[in-house]
Amino acid sequence: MKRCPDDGSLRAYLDQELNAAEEARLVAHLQGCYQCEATIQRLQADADLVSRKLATLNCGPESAAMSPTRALARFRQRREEERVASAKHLLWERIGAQMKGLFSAGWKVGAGVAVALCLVAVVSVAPVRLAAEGLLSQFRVQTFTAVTVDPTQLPEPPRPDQLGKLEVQGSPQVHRDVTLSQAQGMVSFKLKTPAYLPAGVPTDPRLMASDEGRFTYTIDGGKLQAYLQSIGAGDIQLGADVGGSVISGHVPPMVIAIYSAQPSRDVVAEPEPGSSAASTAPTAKPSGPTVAVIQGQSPTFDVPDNLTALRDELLKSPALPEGLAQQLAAIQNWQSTVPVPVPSRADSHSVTVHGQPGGLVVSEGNATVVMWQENGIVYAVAGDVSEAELMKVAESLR
Amino acid sequence: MDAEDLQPEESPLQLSDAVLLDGLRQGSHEAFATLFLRHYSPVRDLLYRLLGDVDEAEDVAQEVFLKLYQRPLSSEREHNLRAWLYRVATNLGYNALRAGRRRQERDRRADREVRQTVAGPDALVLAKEERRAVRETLARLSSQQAALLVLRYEGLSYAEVAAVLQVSPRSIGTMLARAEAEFKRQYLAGQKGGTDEALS
Repeated sequence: MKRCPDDGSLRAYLDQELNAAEEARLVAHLQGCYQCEATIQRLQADADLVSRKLATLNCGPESAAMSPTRALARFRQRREEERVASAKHLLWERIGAQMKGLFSAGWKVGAGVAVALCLVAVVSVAPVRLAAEGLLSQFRVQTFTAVTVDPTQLPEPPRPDQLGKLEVQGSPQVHRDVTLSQAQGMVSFKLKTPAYLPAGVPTDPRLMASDEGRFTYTIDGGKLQAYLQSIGAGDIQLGADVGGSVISGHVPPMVIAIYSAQPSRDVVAEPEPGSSAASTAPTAKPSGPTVAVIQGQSPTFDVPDNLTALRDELLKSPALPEGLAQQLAAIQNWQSTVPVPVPSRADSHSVTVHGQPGGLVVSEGNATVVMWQENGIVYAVAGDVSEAELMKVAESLR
Repeated sequence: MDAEDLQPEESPLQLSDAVLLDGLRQGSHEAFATLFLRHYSPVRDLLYRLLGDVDEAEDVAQEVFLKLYQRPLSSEREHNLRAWLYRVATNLGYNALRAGRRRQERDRRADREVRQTVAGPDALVLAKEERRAVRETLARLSSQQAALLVLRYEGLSYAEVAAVLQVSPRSIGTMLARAEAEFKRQYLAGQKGGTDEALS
């Protein structure tokens, strides 16, 4: 007699899953093999038991279950909820993205303007930056004010090369992993360190510092007109002298201290090509809280008056959402007040820090940033901790 | 019942899964919606069988499609969407089943205590207990064995089950014979350790 087929073949035979030739061979074998006959019976009994038992699970969910259409609606609703919930991290991500940009592109062309207003740019939207930095006669940071914006309503922000030409003098660098004394040597004021840090935040920071930099930005009249056109402000008439106007900026050195248990690459990751502050890609969430302290003398910008006139025109233009234009127009000391664009879902309010009024706290979910100016030095403290904790850190700077 | 429940559930588009997957990879929400509507019910029903709780089955089904949404399977390595969905569903479902085991055992003890205080076991309670015993048995099998039995019971062919479990179709007979024997062993062991209800 031929060798008996294995259990698997017998089982497949029961399910009619053998091909014709296999089945014929097996049937022939079974004719005279009691052993296999017995095996088949055992396999059949096991299969029957399983099938009977699984059948008890049969009472379908039809009655109580939702239709696929409803399930899909629920799926979409959850994604939307998640999107809103992930906005909790948006502020933090934007801070991270700005720092990424700062520390990768450094002082190179393109990052120049962003660097110039890094403190502000943590939550910035370019058209507002345009109003803030491009059109002021002499700009110096003294106070901050929140400007509520709906990012979806804002016109496409200009790229630095879209309005003219940026020239950075020399080749200022950003230095990673400097020591405290090195950082202190780079600035002309006494660096402060927090006496208080929230629980779980390491007291030993990673320090980074940027060189002092000077840049000029030469407006290209044709480009500016084209940009205004593209955002729906084409009716703004530019004076003939606008082209060739030069904005010059001076950005003193800036020191950033990051207090985090995370490896540096997770806090200030290498940017991916094409990544931007607007990216909504989820980034790794630090496991413990992270606090960053940024300090530097106020950057200054000199802007020809023919450009400052443009501010009024722009504020009247329908290119800016009405509410935003009104908020910007309401700023009294606009040459020294930084309008910090704050998404409508974020909380923000003015604060007094170190006895200095004009500070601003912005909170979005668990991320908070507080910024203020004291004796010509601009400070920003950011962290994924509560506002109360962050204010304690800010007030503890010595 | 809402009006939308009355709408036919079949997708209006008769595009193949492969075409829709391509669309999904390019970020098409419509492609995703079509795939969702096409495959949701079988996935949810499979999970219901495994978990025995509509809400939980629906939750896990949502998770299955979230995985698809977040990471549409790559075209080179994976082309059978149904097999992929069943694989993800059985994996997630099995994990949920095991996670629920402790809870179920606690429920069962509580139920038994209740039954001892009332007149006689009522048929509904018995049926409920039987279902729980079956799910507990599945939870005691390996995830592959549990998936194999459930998928086979769903009526998938050996070739389809093999695609889901990523094994050779030739090995399904042997795996099935073993899984069934193991199911029986575990089920009977559970009965002995539990109540005296004989197997029907």
